[in-house]
Amino acid sequence: MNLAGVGIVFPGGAGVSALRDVLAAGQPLKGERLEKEQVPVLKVPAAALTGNPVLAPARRADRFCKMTLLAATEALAGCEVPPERIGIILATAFGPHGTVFKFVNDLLEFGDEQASPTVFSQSVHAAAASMVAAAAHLHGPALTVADLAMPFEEALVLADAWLEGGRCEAVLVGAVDETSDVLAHVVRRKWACSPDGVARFSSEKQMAYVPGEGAVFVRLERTAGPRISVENEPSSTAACHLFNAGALGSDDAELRRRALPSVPARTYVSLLGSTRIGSAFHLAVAWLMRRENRFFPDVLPLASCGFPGGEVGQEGAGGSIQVISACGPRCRAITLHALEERRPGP
Amino acid sequence: MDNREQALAEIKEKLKTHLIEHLNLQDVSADQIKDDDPLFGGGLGLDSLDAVEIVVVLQRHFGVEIKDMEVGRKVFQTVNSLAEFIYEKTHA
Amino acid sequence: MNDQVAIAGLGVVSAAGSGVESSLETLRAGRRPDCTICPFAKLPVELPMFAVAGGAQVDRTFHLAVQAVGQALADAGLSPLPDGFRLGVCLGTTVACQLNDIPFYAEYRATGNPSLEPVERFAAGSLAERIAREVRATGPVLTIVNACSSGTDAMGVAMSWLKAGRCDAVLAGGADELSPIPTVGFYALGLTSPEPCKPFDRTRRGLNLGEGAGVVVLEREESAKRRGRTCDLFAAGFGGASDGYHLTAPHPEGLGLELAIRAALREAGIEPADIDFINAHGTSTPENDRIEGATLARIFGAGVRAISTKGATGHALGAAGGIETVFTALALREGWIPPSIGFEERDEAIPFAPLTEVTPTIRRHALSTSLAFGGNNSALVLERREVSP
Repeated sequence: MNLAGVGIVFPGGAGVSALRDVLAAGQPLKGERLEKEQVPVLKVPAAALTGNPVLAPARRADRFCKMTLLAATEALAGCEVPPERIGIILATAFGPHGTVFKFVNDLLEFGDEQASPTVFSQSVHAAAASMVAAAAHLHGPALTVADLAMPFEEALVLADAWLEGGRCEAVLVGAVDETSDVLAHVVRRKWACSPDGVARFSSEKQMAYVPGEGAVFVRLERTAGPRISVENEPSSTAACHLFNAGALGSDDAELRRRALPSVPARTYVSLLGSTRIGSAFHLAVAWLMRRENRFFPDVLPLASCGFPGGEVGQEGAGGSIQVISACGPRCRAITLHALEERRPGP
Repeated sequence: MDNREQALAEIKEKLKTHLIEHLNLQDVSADQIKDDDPLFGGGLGLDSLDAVEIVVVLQRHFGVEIKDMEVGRKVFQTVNSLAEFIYEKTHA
Repeated sequence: MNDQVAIAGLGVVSAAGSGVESSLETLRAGRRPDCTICPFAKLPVELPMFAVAGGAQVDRTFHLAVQAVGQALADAGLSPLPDGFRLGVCLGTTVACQLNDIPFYAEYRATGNPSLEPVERFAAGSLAERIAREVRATGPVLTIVNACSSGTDAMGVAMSWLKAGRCDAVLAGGADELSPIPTVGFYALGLTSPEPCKPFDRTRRGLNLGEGAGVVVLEREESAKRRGRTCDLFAAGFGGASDGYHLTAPHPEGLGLELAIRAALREAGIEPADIDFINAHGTSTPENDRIEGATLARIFGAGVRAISTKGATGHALGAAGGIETVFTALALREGWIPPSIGFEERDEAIPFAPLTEVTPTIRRHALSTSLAFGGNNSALVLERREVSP
């Protein structure tokens, strides 16, 4: 399968252009301390979620849906596949939990009898994908999946099966998660937050969580764009490894174990925050590096965390780039293949 | 303006504010919603989900219950008909 | 490559019975199980619900799933799993995917320092991840959270995995428990009925919630044969499609449902006339049954043989598609279609009346449909084949 388009909303803003700006600046994003929990959190700026005409027809979109709509619409731009042949797979770990808690809050506040049907509808995990289908008039299959381990990687592999099996001609695969006061509370109680508000690769001594959020969508087709695939191990022939570090609830020791001395490695967790959608974010970074044919500056070099890999320069991101995730003993590597490995068209 | 008229005017103003909030109406201000414009099938673009949400608006903010959606269909026509209904229920 | 997908094992638990045998008994008798009155929401009406008797209260969805999974694996001869067997897990749910513990949130709101026990349970893994751990499955894992079509969608995902050669077999289906959140939510939407549901009936007033789990072992035919199993039932075709219309209301012309059904028929390589009967979504809400009824009649003719089994189970949300796949498979195997419980009076707006008698069937194909909140539609074609002696 091939990566034909990308859309993104993250704490640095909305759109691939915002991602490019933040990558080019080469500085980590710093989480803002929540007053209530005294936890640093990387939130998508409010300005990124307002005023965009994409959101106008979706008056009922909550925060989760808005991020989804913006990213999915951007990834869909320029797609020439007929709408009944475009599928959606949205992967999430926690779903629109801010809205779930709002619904529960209302039950406690007003009683069961006065529950809002609109808030209930928004609180259903499938609402966001539904809004994408309605906004873009898509009629292919729409699926929302929720797992903690690696739902985005599973969704990519399923999309490949849909494309190869002829179920769709294009699939929007997204990873979306939001942060909330409750999540920040849980992170503070269960794990250690980064003292300086910068999310980074965690060491044995220090977990460095900063709860983050965002939505990343990729549009997959059979021929357009660079080829991608999902493997179970990092490859020693990759030009660069992007490590999906700092994933909420994961230990980065397993990632360190997967590092290969011969392959330069980086992580951009400091631009997203701690989430379970980091592999999608890093895939967007890899895609942009490929598109611009440069590696962008390294933000917080992994060498300081004992990584063996050498440095890559800033130019020439033409080789294959792998996004490495680990969860427990399981590992997945999403490979954005080198240009010369592009499969010939039909 | 007699007491009834004044009470109705207050209800309508409050109602419009709550409708905008609960129905997530965008780029609409309270004074843009005309008292006798049809709520459904008109410019506001309301649908079946809004109808059940209006039931909640009436309960939470006016203490008025709609037990039967058949009644709802009649009183949900305009801001005027909703306000009249609320007034009758709260001033009877 | 032989990419036929066999149904190698069935497991089900619902208000209609725990296990295949007791479910068949209920279905054949056309007897509505006793409803309970919703105990956990403070509403001005008493809502009938279809509860599963007994079982764990905490973590109930997981335990319901474990029951159905255990039955399905035993039925498939996969208990224990053979060495090196690649088993995938794809299960749908609605309640278990949300961190929606009301006491947890109430405590958080009141004290700012709640017990994290419900969070720990949530963080232990999604439904499919936990089941995969429980049965030591080593294949792909996904939890489908597609509202009311989740269970049927899980079948479609499993079929894609098997056809792509990702594993030998998949535990596919769904599980859900009765919970205050959907109860209050569906009440607020005006979709719940104060009386036992009557799918496709003129006087239907809405749905009753139910709970349970329905799980099948879908297996590559080659793999089943290699294990010496005979296969009489197959998942022949799946289709999924979006209405692209509205957050809660179905498309008025059933656009997505028709696309889903036609895709499933195409994948199965059959025509509408080949379908012997349809186990419809039939929730008993005025809108669903009218639109689904019209769509089925448009595709299959007004003489379509359709039923809804929700009169025996209630609407078990994420479990519904799993439970109904099991019931549809059983009907094909047994050679009779169960009566549609709760139907009495013909609705002129629906071009057909559902079957109300036990009706013999000797033909090969049946269809099971699911329509979800948010406008996703799913259709699954099941096939029975004569087993050569």
